Amino acid sequence: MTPPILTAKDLRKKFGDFEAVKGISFSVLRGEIFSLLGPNGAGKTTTINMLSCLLPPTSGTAEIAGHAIPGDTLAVRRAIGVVPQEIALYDSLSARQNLEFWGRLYDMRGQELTQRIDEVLDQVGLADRAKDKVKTFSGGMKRRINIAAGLLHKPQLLFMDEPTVGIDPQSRRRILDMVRELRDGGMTVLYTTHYMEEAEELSDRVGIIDQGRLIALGTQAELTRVVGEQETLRLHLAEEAGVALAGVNGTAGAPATMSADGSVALFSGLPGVLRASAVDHQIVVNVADAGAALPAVVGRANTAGLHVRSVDIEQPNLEAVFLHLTGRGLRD
Amino acid sequence: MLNKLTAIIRKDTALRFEGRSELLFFLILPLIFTFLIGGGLPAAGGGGDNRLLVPVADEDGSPRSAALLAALADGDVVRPEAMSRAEAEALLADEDAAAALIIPAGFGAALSADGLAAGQEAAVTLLVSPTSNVAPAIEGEVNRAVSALARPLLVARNATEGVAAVRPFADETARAAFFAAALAAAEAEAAPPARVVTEVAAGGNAYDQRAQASAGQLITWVFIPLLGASGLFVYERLMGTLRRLLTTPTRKSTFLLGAIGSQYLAALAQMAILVLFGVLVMRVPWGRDPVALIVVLATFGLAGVALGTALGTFVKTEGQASNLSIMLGMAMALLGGAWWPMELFPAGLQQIVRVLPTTWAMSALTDITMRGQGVADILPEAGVLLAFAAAFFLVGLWRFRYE
Amino acid sequence: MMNKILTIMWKDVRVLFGDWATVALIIAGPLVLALGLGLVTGGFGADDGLAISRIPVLVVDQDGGPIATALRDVLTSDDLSDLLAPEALADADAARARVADGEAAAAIIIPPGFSDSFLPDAMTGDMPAAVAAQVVADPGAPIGAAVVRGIVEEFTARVATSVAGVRLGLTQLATSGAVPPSELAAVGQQLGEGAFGDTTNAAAASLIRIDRQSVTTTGGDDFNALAYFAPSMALLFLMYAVTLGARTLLAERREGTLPRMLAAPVSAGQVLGGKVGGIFLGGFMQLSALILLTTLLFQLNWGNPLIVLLLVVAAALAATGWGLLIAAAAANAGQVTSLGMAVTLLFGILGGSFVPLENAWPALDALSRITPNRWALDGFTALASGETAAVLMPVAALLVMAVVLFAVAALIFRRRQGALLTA
Repeated sequence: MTPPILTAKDLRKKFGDFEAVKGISFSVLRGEIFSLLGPNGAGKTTTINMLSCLLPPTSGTAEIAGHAIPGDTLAVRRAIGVVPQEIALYDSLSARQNLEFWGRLYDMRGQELTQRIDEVLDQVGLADRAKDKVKTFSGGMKRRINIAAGLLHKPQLLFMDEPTVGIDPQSRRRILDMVRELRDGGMTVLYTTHYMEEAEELSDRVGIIDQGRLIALGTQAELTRVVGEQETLRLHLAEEAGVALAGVNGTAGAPATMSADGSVALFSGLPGVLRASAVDHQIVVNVADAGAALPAVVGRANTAGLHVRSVDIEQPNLEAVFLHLTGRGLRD
Repeated sequence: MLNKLTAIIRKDTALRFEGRSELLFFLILPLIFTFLIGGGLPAAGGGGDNRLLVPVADEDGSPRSAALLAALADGDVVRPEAMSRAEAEALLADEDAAAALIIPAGFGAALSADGLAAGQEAAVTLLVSPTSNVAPAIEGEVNRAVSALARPLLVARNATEGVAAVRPFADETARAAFFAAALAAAEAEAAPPARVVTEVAAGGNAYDQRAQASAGQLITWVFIPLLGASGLFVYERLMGTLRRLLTTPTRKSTFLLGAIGSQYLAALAQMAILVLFGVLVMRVPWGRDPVALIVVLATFGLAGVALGTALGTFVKTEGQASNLSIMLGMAMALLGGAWWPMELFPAGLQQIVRVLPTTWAMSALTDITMRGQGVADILPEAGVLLAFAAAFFLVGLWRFRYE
Repeated sequence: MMNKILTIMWKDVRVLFGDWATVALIIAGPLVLALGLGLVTGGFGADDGLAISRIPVLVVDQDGGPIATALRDVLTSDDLSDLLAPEALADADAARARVADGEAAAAIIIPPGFSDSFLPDAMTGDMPAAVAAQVVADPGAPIGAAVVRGIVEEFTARVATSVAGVRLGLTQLATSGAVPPSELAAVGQQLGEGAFGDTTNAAAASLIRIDRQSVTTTGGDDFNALAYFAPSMALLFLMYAVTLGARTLLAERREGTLPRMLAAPVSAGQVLGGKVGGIFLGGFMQLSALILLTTLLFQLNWGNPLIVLLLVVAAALAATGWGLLIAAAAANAGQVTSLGMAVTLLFGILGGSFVPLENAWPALDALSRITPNRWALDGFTALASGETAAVLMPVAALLVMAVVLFAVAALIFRRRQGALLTA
């Protein structure tokens, strides 16, 4: 088995009274894409910040490429590349000027640096815009240069913190392809996201993180095995039904109540229904057998005044896993 | 380490001059202000007359009033120009002249033998603008010219009155004859020897508006961008690049050194240009003691960049940084004596402004450009500036956060 | 229609005055600066005296003779006690060093033989070579040093003139034969005693009186430095306030609020009118607030309120014109800020806000007339001294300036960016 490049042991981070990360342990193996999947505020970025030496852990340790955290932070930083969630670039400098600057901070220089800048510019498909100021770029282009700046020194381990937030589908596609290419080229990637599809598409292994805890870890197959033969019914509601859903929940004593975390009690008691949760205008229902449960679920929804426009039947996926483990859906 | 430092310095310089408008404050305005406040080009080779214009309304038109005008012109401080009283007053009202001299009709007559004998009083009127700080110098020159004109008359009168006291004259005719002879003798006498010599302390130059402007504007305009450096910290915070810097294998000290170093280098370059401008265009003797000059400018730059760093940990937006730097820079320079000689300040204020680095810098630059002082003499000022630098750096380090 | 323009105007004014840092800068800034400059250059309501502190002067008497003593008496006399702060010192080198350090404006060193050199040789009647007093001047304190030098020169001139008078009188008496040679010495003694009786009495020694009159450009007897600096600082910051307003023209386009306004049922003319009106109103309110505040706080008399209002409107219009021109010439909002600050400072120095440029060459005077600062300042000073008619010219000049600048700005806007509002 490949040796781990990163091992985290019981990492914790407290901000005042608030414990953002409540003891997380995991390993990332050399050459894999490891995703940390979890809703916003789950503690993903705090974890990444501790591992990239931005924040000292309140307790716990980690080891990256043989260097300890806390401890040998400079050596750790040399081994890793970081693509921060926000676009951390000098927008009034050109793409090349930015890359030159960041490259030098990773101890690169001269011919080697120039060559490497050309390579990563090609890699992110912005070679022709190298001389333009970053502030003239579109959101997707900025994201790509943001990634390029983290790749320059060919890090053994690349941290990518939600690198696809707020961009168009084409750019996202491009970035996802790029991440896979990086892995195929031998780089290890630690990827955080709250998009289930991204984690499913990219990851060799996934860690599911919620409320500061790592609640599941494994390959996609391993994880979905947790929910066994469960299937998922996804009820798409009409726009106004979303409001109605909230209204139903707001009424005291109403049969359908949605708790603060989004779980829906409307379907409890129906045969074969394991769990239900509301996300935006959808209700996700875990069932043992989709075909058997469908009529009753739709009937109950109609009775409650929720206008169901369509229903998807889905095979077990990470969302189902998350729902199964937390009783809540992943939110976009 | 060095590679990283140069990267940071190059990045900061590129960021700073990216908009070109930075050049306005870095170079263009400082040169214009130095030029204007210094009074333009020096009178090189009989080019222009840089003496202070003093409009003179000669309403008397006698040989005596003409002599007064000539005596006034015979100095290197003022340039009298005859015109009507209305014109003179208009110049004064428009602040185009600091003072105007009116020689009223009857001036010559009062100074004639008859006038003197009759005890008539000769008087001139000097109109001065109260807002002007050169008026006292003009007043001194008028005093000098008036005494030169009055001297033979005074000598003759003193002789006549003295003699009358011990050997009274037989009649007025005898007295007048004696006075006329005495006046003729007094006027024939050679000019009296100088009884006061002025030397400038330590062999320096006399006060020079150009030196004051060159030194004062240097302090003002070097200080403003140094304080404005606080804006760069804000920019880095807003862009998120400060956080990203921490994920690279770069020490906090390397980053700070680079950020501060780039400001410092820019300030040194700016000072070099302004000093060269002073030497070549304004003919200010900056180069008398280069070592002393370098020590002062180097320590002043440090104090400024340290203050800018400390300030950068307080300001929240780039707008705040730019407004604050201009206001604070101007105010500190003004109070530090960079715009007017410190002697014009009330005594209490002169003590209070010792808490400003600009005060010490200006004092040291005055030592160098005007007082002719050397390294040993400016060491105290340099020491105080270093102490300012250390104090401000400490505040900056203590308050510095990456976000 | 007017309603919408006013809505946009008010929005801009609220944005301008809603930020405490801006208000502090454009209202408190000029107040503090005017106060400070007033303090430095002349004090308030003081008469014509130069408000400098007592001049520190060191006196080293190496002579000890009667004339040296008389000079020291003059320096320490009550007449000069408001002007000089003399300090006796024994060591000339120490005095020189202290002047060189800037601790005293000047040192007066009276060398040995100073007193004797004023008196003619008792036998021959010839004057000995003059032994001059040395005034060591601090170039860093030019005015103080000049005053000290003037006092010493006046004193020595007076003594020398008295001696010359005695000599001349004696010579005349001797050559005319009125006094026999045998009595000359005695008569000389008498003459000398008469002449030196009042060497310290300045009035007796002068023939020509110099009437020094302070002429205030702001009129009135009670000249007030604040009356000059308050309008000049207010105008300095008026320019800054309008550039802040002009900046929003470009900033709103960048932020997309300008196109959004156009998407509302508002015409381009209304939007532009509102924006320009907002710039004007911001400047107008800033200037008015300063006039009100200085009137209340410092009892400053600005003159006839109606005409002051007229002048304020004209000045704010001309300044708005400059603001528009800067916005038209700049590529982005950031440039408006720095260009605006640069123009503000340049106009300030040309308009005489920082140092009086009275001694500069005439071209500069002409140049200063492109600034609203200069015209408005002329207007305010005329108003404060009650010369109401003299305000007409500045008001007219400011209005013409506004019209020309509005036209030029509109032209540039049209040429450079096509339609300003649809970018």
